[in-house]
Amino acid sequence: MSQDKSRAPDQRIAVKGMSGGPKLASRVNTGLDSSETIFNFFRSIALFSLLDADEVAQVLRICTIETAAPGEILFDEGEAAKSMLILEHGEVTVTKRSQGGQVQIANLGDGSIIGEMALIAGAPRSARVKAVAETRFYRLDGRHFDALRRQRSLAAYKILLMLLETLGDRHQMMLKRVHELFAHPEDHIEIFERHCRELIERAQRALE
Amino acid sequence: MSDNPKGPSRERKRMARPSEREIIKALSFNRTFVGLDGDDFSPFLAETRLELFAEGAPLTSRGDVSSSGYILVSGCVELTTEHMPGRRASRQHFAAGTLISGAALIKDWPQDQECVAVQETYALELTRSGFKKLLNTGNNVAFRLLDELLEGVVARVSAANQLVDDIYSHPDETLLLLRARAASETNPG
Repeated sequence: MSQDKSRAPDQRIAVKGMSGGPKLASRVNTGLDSSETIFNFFRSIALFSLLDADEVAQVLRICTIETAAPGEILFDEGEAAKSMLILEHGEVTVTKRSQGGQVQIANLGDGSIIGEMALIAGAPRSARVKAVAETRFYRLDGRHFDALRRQRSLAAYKILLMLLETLGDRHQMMLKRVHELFAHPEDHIEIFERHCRELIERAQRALE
Repeated sequence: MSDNPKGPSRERKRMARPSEREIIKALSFNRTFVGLDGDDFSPFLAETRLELFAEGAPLTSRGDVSSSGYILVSGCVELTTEHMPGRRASRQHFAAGTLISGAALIKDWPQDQECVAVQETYALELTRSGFKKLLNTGNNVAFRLLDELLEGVVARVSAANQLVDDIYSHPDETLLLLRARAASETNPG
């Protein structure tokens, strides 16, 4: 993965309305054309939807912008999770190791959040993320975010509140899936038989 | 504040209603709130309502959608969680400051736990709107509650992930389990 050539990795970005720091985001090559566009971009993402302009600016101060060429791995399954990525532009695939090789579990594009667990849990990355097109993204470092949280920053807590909502939704979805499975076992036997056959076929292909 | 206990009435001596000072003292012993002072607790207490639950009274029931969470002040409650149909685990909590039904402070999710007072219990009821108001004013008690909720949800998502992983990565064992359950449903005897 490559750092954006137009900026040093520790440079910070600013948006209109913030106090101190560089005046305007468009002076650095963020890919987005103005500070207002950057603010609107962040506000359009659920995780940042509660933040005002000053709070977005606070978050941007601890972000770096990076780019990845098609085929580059942004992070790999099992690696230590140290940052969260916010996809500004491009496309990535999310895959998990399986008996038959890498299995694609998602395809993500503009405005996607990747690896958000890095902000709250020290668990290793649960999947591999690879760019499939020229991709630009913001990297929010977990240690910098922790520092913001320790300072009792409202911006950090608003992000955590939305993160909690996302994780809660995910938890509810998983519970529903498990409950449906065991509450109506007869409806799922056929699906599992098919799943077994697919696994065996994948393993056989991998051995060939 | 409510002086009438929720749930079945009992002919026995009522537990003394704790004062604000006693509540603060009790909560500050909990690791969630350690280090906080009266300035942090006062706005929080102003947003809560002290409720008395009689022995056997439910604080939350499974499947309920509620917009209030509870913070235990005194007494004891039993929390029962159903991980999958037919597999339940219960645990008793008596520490002041224990957060019950915390998920209700975030969103309208159906409760996956039931909570019953096993003796007369005082708990502070905090509404979702009250919680979010406290958060927006930068109240430290609300920040600590959010920290606590995050810790809990990370553990629960991780346990659920493990469960889903076990189910789908060992399909042959899952298949056996499903067949056994389907057979016992067809022929319960």
